[in-house]
Amino acid sequence: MLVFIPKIVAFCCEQSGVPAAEMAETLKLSVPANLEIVPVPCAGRTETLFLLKALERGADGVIVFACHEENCQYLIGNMRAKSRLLYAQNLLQKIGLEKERLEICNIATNSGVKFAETLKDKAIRLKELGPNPLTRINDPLAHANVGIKE
Amino acid sequence: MVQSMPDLNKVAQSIPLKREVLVLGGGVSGITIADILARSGIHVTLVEKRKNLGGLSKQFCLFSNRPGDSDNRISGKMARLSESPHITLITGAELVGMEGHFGSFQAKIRKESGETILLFPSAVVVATGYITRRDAKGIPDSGCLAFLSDMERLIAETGESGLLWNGKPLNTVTFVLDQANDDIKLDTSTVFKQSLVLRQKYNCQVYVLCKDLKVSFTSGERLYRKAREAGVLFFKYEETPEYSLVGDRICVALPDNTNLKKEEQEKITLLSDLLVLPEVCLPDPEAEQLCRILRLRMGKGGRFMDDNPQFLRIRSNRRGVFVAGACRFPQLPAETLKEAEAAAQEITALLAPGVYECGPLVAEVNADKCALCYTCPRLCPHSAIGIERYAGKNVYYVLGNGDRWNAARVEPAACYGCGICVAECPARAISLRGEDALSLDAYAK
Repeated sequence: MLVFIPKIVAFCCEQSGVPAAEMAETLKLSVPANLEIVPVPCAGRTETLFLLKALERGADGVIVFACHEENCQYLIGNMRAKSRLLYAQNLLQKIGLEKERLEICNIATNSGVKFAETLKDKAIRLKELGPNPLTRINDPLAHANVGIKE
Repeated sequence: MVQSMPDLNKVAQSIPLKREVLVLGGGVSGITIADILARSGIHVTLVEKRKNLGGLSKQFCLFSNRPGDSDNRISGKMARLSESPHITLITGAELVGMEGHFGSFQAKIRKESGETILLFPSAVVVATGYITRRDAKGIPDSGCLAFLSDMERLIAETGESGLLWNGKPLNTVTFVLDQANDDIKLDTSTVFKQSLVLRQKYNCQVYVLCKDLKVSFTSGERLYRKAREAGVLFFKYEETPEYSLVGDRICVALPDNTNLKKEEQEKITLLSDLLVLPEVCLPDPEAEQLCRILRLRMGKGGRFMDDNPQFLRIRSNRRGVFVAGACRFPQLPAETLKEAEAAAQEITALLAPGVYECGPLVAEVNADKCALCYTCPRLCPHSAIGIERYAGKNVYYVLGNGDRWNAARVEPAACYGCGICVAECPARAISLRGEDALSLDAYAK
């Protein structure tokens, strides 16, 4: 049976998201199958464009793993990431996409479990939202992420 | 699963460092830092606003639980400072301007006489301390009121003979804590030490009124137990006690909290010769101005730096600028000394190689794309971005051959490579040199 496994792009801050991902890996926690991790030096490095391009290129959901508020090594990186994400959500709503596809998660270095849980939750919610309509427009014949056997 | 950022040390730039440091503030931490740095052969210029050094160190004669100890140590350091060939002392002067970045600061110091001195330090330490205010609101005005610093001086100056206050012998003393300075542990430690001396050396009756005792400092619990064993009486209060004058003594009245039934609580009245209050610790009102000059971030309540666990102790948001001592938060003198040592150590380590190798990740501006919108200089948390000006003018300027003079410029020595400016630049004129372009390019084009 063909099932929909949502594609998730996770932008991970090198200070918190990446160590958390490594910890999840060490602990052998299960993370959603169709996941792409993009390390960035600070969550503040993720541009608004990155978030939109990820959706355009076929991701069903994007998540930014940033440090906790008032805990950024670069003082304002996580806050900048958050404000850009809110702006991008605004743009999504204007073109008729669900803003829930973009999300930010504040995480600490030692939260491997939270990392895996958040991604699993995200995958479940994206399944409910359904595939990203943009992929169908770009490639009307086949949906990239439908057809992966579970 | 996870790719990590590449180490591209090849592109690193190196910046020569002079062994010169500017220390602002000649208090306990400023003096200690200057002393340590000078002994490791780094030239220090110590700038103090007042006429003489020492700051508030006079208030802490008992800080190691040995009367006179702090004074000896601080005066010993001060004596070394004036003799050392590596130290230039400038008193009665203040910082009025600072340009440049780590390795090449240009600091403008103005003396009281109006004379201006230009300095070129590699690193700057801010150790400007805090100010205290004597606040005796609601307490009847008489000769029965003193502050912790008065008591400290009295103990330091009185020898083996009995304590005298206004010519009268001192037999009972009441300390009232926690009326101000909510999260500062300094008062509690000073009161413990003073009450122990009063009790053991001068056989005074000592009462301490407090809300919650803050004993979370080295040997805090031990001092508290020692004070209890020596016979110091501690009373817990919730509402402000009532003060009244009885003859030439002061009476403090508070409800007895040991009885849990409110209606059965009796009033405790404590008659004493002297009421001692802690001074209110306030941030220096000039800190704001100094933050602006140094381009440092200001935290809540007018102190230096945010309340961010990544920036505890001496780190500031700029490379080469350190914050030490009570200007970030008033602490116990012992902790301040440790902090000063840490700052000196950090500077020695930073200046020791003689050159600074810029990190693998450094932002770079493509001057052709820069539209001078001033987004990045305003946004950079490390104040690493400035605007290159032509002939001192801040204008958009295109020369005949297509060269542009004005553009934003990232100082490689000051850049931490966080990429906030890269992501924010509306013209996409900034790139992160050394970044693994391939992993992010897929999302950028």
